[in-house]
Formats: sequence, structure tokens, C-alpha cells
Amino acid sequence: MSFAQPGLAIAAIMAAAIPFVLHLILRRPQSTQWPSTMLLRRAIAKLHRRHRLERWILLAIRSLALALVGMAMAGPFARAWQGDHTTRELWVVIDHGATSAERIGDGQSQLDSLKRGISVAMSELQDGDRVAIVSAANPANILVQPTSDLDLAQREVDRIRTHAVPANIQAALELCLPAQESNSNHQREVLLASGCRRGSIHPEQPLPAAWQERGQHVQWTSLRPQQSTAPNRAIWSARVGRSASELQGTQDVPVRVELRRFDGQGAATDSVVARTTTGNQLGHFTGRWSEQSNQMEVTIPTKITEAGGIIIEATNDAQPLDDTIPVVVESTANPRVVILGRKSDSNDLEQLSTTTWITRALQATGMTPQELDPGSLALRPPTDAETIIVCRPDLLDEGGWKWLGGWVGDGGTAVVMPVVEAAEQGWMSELDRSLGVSVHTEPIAKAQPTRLAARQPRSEIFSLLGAEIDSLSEPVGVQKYISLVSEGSEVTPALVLDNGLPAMVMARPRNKNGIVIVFGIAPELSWSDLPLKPLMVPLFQEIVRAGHILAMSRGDLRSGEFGWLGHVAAGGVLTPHAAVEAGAVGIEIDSDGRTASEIPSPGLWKLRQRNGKERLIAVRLDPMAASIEPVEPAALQTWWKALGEWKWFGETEHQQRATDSPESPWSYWLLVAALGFLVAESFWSRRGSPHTNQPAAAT
Amino acid sequence: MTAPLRAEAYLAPETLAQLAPFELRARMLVNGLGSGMHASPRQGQAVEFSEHRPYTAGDSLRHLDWKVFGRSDKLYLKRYEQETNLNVTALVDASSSMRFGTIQTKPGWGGTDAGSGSLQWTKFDCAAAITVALAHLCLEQRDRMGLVVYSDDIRASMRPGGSKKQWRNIVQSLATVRVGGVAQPARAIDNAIAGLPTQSLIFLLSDFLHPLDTLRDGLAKAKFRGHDVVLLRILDQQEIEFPLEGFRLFEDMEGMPPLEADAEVLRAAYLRELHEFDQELERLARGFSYDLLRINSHQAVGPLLASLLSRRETLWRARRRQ
Repeated sequence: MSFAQPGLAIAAIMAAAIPFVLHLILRRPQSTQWPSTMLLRRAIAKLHRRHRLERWILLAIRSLALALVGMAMAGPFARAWQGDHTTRELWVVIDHGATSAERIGDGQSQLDSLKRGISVAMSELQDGDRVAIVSAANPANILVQPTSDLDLAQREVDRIRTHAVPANIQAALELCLPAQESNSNHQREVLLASGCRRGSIHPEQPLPAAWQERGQHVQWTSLRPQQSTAPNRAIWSARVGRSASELQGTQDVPVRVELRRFDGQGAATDSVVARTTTGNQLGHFTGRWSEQSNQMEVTIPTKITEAGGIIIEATNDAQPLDDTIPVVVESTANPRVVILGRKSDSNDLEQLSTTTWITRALQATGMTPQELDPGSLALRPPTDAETIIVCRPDLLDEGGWKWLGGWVGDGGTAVVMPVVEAAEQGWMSELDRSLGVSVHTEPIAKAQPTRLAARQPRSEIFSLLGAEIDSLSEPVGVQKYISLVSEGSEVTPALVLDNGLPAMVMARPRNKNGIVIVFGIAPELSWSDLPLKPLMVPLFQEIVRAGHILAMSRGDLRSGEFGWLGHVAAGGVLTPHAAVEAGAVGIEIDSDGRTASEIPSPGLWKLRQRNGKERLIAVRLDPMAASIEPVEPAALQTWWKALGEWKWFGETEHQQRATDSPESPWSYWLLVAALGFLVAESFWSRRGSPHTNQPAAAT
Repeated sequence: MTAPLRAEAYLAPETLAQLAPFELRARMLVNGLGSGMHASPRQGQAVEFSEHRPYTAGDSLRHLDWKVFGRSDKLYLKRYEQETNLNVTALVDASSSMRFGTIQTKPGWGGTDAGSGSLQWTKFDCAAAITVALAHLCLEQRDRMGLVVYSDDIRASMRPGGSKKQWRNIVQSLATVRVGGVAQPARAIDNAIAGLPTQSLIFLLSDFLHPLDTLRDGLAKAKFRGHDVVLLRILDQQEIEFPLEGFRLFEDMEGMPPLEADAEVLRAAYLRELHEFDQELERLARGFSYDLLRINSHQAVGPLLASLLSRRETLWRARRRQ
């Protein structure tokens, strides 16, 4: 507790001693001769027990009343009701997430500024005070438990570097809340050291109201953030383009990079630089900002024939962390495809089998599918295959179906075609029994000419084809098909006929990691003219590539978050790829394909699967998490209010003086308390006391 | 020799007038409250006719009244009552607490060593006045009167006597005895009853401001010897009412450490304690079938003693009729 008028407060405390002095001075007794004090002593002995406590209560009441009156006049400011004996416990929440990398001028970063503020706050601590350091970079954690070793805490603050991960201020603040059963004598103060940027604080997500009760005795302060920011431009996204039109007649893989600018105005040109993980420069690529738009796209043509990664960088500006993005470009030749079927010996187009047409289509994309007799699948299983296309399911024996089911369970992509050569599709029951796909059909194919629908469903397996799937499907005529029927939720149509029946369905089988694709039409001229249409090549190329990706369920991974790499990655280890990541600890992948912890940094990572295979994984920093747009003060205050009273750091003394004013509620309540004590004193004093010096034992 | 003359002033005419109708007769005092006693005539030197009763077969002819037989031709037996010289002893407490008094002496009241310095009418003065009055009454009725003045030891002792000089000796002893020390009633009673014939009357005059355990032992011995004891508790009015105010340092007159206390706060508790102590003393006296008389030293002793004697005589007469 501190006072605006300490002298008066001291005088008040000294006044509390007045009753004691008066008590000692006024107790000069009048001498009286008495025959025998025997009865007096007996009386006192009985009175003594009752009045012993009352006497001290009376003294205490008098003293407190005087002290309270004095303190009310002195105008106290109390951080809490615990009193002067309470020491401070400063919990510093430092936001060293992605937004702290913001450059604020003079070569200083936002983090440097926050550290200076923290040092100032810690310099105000006194002996006996404690400090704790809490990291707000996701995952939030306590870096330094409450300690009175301020040097240790300062060294820890000095060591803190920016982490290219989102901030989790809410989780960090929750760590600062006292436990329910806490009875510490320390006055807890929380200092939020954050630039209060949109990447760190999300005012639209209010803090839990329950915190107000837990944090009612906590004093909340925050470093005052800067409201101005320098113009910034970010690489918002980068995707590998492989649409049919993009791939037509070339092996180039275009990488489309989206840039966004903030606080930038007018038409201008901008460029990005791309390099491979092996250090090869892919060159500068320029784009142009239009007058009205703050978005633009730059296309980087790559000629990568092996799977690999590239790093795309823009010129450093106010937020350097959003100027780099890693991209993994999958190889066009690598996927290992096995076709279970039998080629036709004839060169007559009308006689070419499904196996032959599919092999030709895949070869056109640079793949080299391996043909395997369906009857030998169980004897010589292609364990390293990523996609198996079953053109003759009728030739698979029981062992073959069983192996195929297990292989799909491990994450393989199985494509099952109808049998053109057989009159009945008697193998259909194996879809449910062996592969776990509840797809049924009539045993006899329907010979009803139709065509693929002009508008196809947006299936995830053809997501990269986009709207092109419609134009590619429309010319395809169908003479014969089997009607696929499914009630299972795991089955979705990917291609449909003009009559609404599915021509191809994709299923994620129950309890299996892979996917199963079932065709209702056969790429054979007796069933459809698909083999002669432009859809044939991208159709099977996407089935192989996207199917493989979907089986692994590999999507965008974000730094500072848990990643899901699919069941195929279960048991593997994720390790940093580049030298810049040296020293980082590998992250284990659990049985569900999830990382055991948050991925600590963006960049290229290497996934070593349980079967020994390795592949690159791109981990990106969520550009929203790096946003350095300032949060509007009004929104920030609304967000803060969920914690109760709070103030900017540096305004504490000012607010103390305001509280010390005579109109302060403290003074009012102290005066009320003093009055109450005086009333109590009157009551007690009327009851009286023997005021004897004679201890009870003497009687 | 001014001291005896001062003591003679205790015998105020109004006091004597108040006591005159009463007799300090052993048969009255001893038989009156003596448990299990009855008016059994005793053969002896001094036998006084009491009444006649008709002769019945088997009665001894020794006490047949032949004169009545001769005049009325009827047989009547003569009944006698023992008539003795009553032995009366006054045990007067001369401890320091008896020096206490809060009323100024007035001319003619006499005085003792207790109040000589302060000209206060002390409890000992009151006790002396009562003793002198009792002695006068006793000697006038040809009974024998003794005196024991005690404190922590025996300060003065006179065996019961019936001579004309006895009263003057008693007065002189009371007037000159040194008052002080801590009362030891048990020892005084022991000393007093050592040479007394049985069935004596003992007046114990004290403020009884001491633990009653020691007193109980002495009273029990007196009871064993067949004595009758009358306890006269003498307190000053200030002790009885405790009208003191303010913060006081109570200095114990019997040597206990002084005591500081707020008199007003202490008053109720003290009076309650005094009452309880008085009740305890009364229970003690009644336990031995002794009489207890409470005397305020500010009041005249005549009516109090007259009241006591009247009450005992009434009891005696009631027993005689049985």
C-alpha cells in the first residue's frame, strides 16, 4: 500500500498509539486502605477471564479507529486489500510470435521494443518481489516460474527470439491466472508485452468471462502498442498448378504465388525470387499491382522432374516473416502405379483392352505403370506401389482381394474398373467384404447410350482440375455402364452420367487409411469413347496423383500448430530439411498420423515414414498470424474488459494519484469503517473492564 | 489511666436499657439451640423448683411434695431445673482488618488502640463495645465472663470469672490490646476452650475475612466440647456497600500485595462475592447449629444484641413448654 501523503499516513499510525499512552498515563490509582483484599481478588479473578479479551478488543478498536481516520485522510492507494506486507509478483506475457518480427525503424524490431518495456517494468520491482516470464508464442508456456532472481529473469528475456509461429495470447494470459486455491501473499500483476497486432490479438474472439472472477485480484497492465505501421506486402499463398491446360504439352509445373499488400497504394511492379532446396536459382519473377487491387499473382514455371522443394522469397519489408514461403513440387514420374489386368494383343482400337488404354494414358504423363497379372497378386504383391488399378477384378482370387484390402488399409489408392469381358460383374461383393466399400450394382451392365454430364460434381480428387472437368467430360459418350448404388457416407460420386447415375465414385473405406475409386464405365470403346477424348489423360493422372495425396491426407501444414499427415505417416518422424533447421528436434508422428507436438517453425521438413520412405513437407506460417495491422484501440479495450480493470503500463502512478483523491471510494469506506469502530468502541467501553493489574493466577 | 475510662463509655445508657430485659442464662442460650438437649433437671448444689406433676405408679417417692399431699391429700411430684453459673467467653478478633473503619468517632464513644490513630470507629471498636456490653450483662446476672483477644496469636486472655473486677479487667484489656496481624481463629478457639467447662457460651466477634476452613476446625472442636457459639460478624458499612469510585489501589491491611482495580467495575462482582461468602459462613454456622449475627459497625449494637437475645429466649421458652 502506498500513500499520496505518506507523512499523514505515518502520523495516523502514530496516532494509533495514543490510546495506549493515555491508558498508561491515566491509570494512576487512588490509594485505598482495605481490610482484606481476599474477596476483591476473588471477584477480580472471575471478572478477569471475561474482561481480558474485551480489554484488548477495546484497545484495538480505539487504535484501529484512529488509524482508519488517518488513513482515510491520507488517501491511500491499495493495489489490493492484502496490505503493505504484500509483495508484487509480476507475470510478464511476452508476445514473441510472428508479429514481433515487425520492423519498427532504426533496425529495431517489435520484439526489441517489447524487451525494453519489460526491462523498465522489471526495474521497478523491489527486493522480495517476484517475476515470471510467460511465452505467448504458440504453444504458450511459462519460461520462468515466479522467482525473486530478477537477473535470471532478465537474462531469459534477453535470450528470447522471434518465433515464426502464431501468438496465443489467450492461452498465455490463462497461465497467469491464479489457481482457485491460491493463497499467495504476493500481489499478482500481469504485464502484456505485445505489439497488439491483428496477427496476435483477435478482438472478435472475446476472452472467457469466467476469467474475470479468477482474475479479480490481478492487476492487468499492457505495454502501449504503436498504432502506426510501415507498408507491408506478404506472400499470401503458393500453389502448384497442374490443371490440364497448364500441363498440356509440357512437363513444366507452374507455381502460382499470390501476393497481398497492406497500406500500399497505386500501380507498381513487384517481384519474387525462387530457389530450389539444392540452391539452384530459378530466377526473378515479376508481377504488377493494379491501381485498385491489393492482390496480384506471379507464376513461376518450374521444370522439376524429381520431387523437391522450392523457396519463394519476396523483398523484405516491415514484416519479414511473410516474405518467404516453401513449396513442394511433386514429381510427375515418380508415382508407382501397378495395373492388374491383361493387355490385348490386337492393335485394333476397337479391340484394345481397358488395361492398354489406361497404360497409354499414364505413359503420356511420364509415368511408367507396371502391369501385373491379377491372379499373381497374392504371390507377388507390389508392396511399394502407391496406386493399383484393378482392370480385371474378376481374375483376383481370394488371397488377392485380402492382400488388396490390407494394402488399402495401409494407405494405398485402389482403382477398380468394371470387367468388359465378363457378362456379369460377380466380383462386386468383394468391394464390401475386402475393401470395406458399400457399393453395389446390378450384375449385368446396362447398354443404354448416354454421356457424361456437362456439369460434374466438385470432387476433391479433381480439385486441381477445377472447372475444366466440366468441359472435359461433356464430349464423352457412354454406350454401356453399370449402375453404381451406394448408401454409405464414405462414398461420394466424382463423375456422373447425364442421367444422373454415377460413372465413378470415390470412397474412404471404413477403418482404412487409403481410398478406393470404383468406375461404372470402362475406358474401352465398346463401353465409351473416353479413351479417345481429352479427359482420358488428366483423368487418370489426377486419380494417381491426387489419389495418392488424398490417401496421405497431406494438406497445408502451419507452423505453431499440430499437423495431420495422414495414416500413412503414422509412426514416422518429421525433421527439418534444410541446414537452417539444424539442431531442431524431430517430431514424432502418432498412430493417427498427427504430429506429437506443434511444428515449431515454417520451412521444408522431411517426413521419414515407417517403411523408410522419405518425402518433403512444406510448413508455412499462416499469413494471418503474421499480420502487423494494428488492432483498433476501441476494439482492444473491449477485448481487455473481459479481464476487468486494466491500464496501460506507465499510467500506473497517474492512476494511483487519481485514486488518492479525497473523493476516492477508499477514503469513503475507510471513514465508514472508522465510524463503525467508534460505535463498537462505545459499546465495549460501556460494558467496562476491571482494569486490574492483578493476574488471575494471583488470586 | 484514660484507656479504661474511655472503654467504659461503650456502655451507653441506651444500650444497657435495650439489653436489660434479657438474661444470659445458660439454660436459655445453651438449651435453646442445643441439638438433642432437653430440660432435664440435674441434681446438684443449685437446684430450683420448676413445677409439679401428678404422681404415677413407679415414680420415685424421693421428690414427692409432702406439703401438697398434706394440704390436698393428693400426690404430686416436685420437678426441678438445674441452675448453674453460665460461663461466657468472648473471642474478639484483633487482626489488622479489624482496624478498618470509615465513620468518625463521636464524643463519648470511647475507643481502643485500633482507632486511636485515625479517630475512626473501627470494627474492633464495635467488637469491643459489644463485648463490654455482654460482659456487663453477664456479670450483673452473676454469670462468669471470660475474654480472649486473638490475632495471629493470643493477644489477651482472661479466664471466665464473676468477680466485680472482672468487667473492669475486660474493658482494660480491650482498650489496650494491640490490634494487628492476621487472624488465626482456630488457634484462638483452641486456646479459649482449653480451660472452659463444658457447655459454655462463646461469642466469636470477627469480620471473618479469612478462609473459613480454619474456622471450621475450631467450631467443630467447640461443638465436640458441647459449647454454644454465637458468631458475630462485624463489617464496616463501606465493606457492605462498596461505594467506592474510580481507579483504586487497594492496600491490604493484613499484608497481602496491593491491588489495582476500577472500583465501579468491580462493585457488582465484589458484592456478589461478599454475599456468597456470607452465605457460606451462614451454612457453616447452621451446620453446627450455631447462631450468626451480622453487625454493621456504623449501627448501634443495642438493638442488634436485643434482637439476638430476644430470638434465643423465644426459642428457649418454646422448648420449655414441650
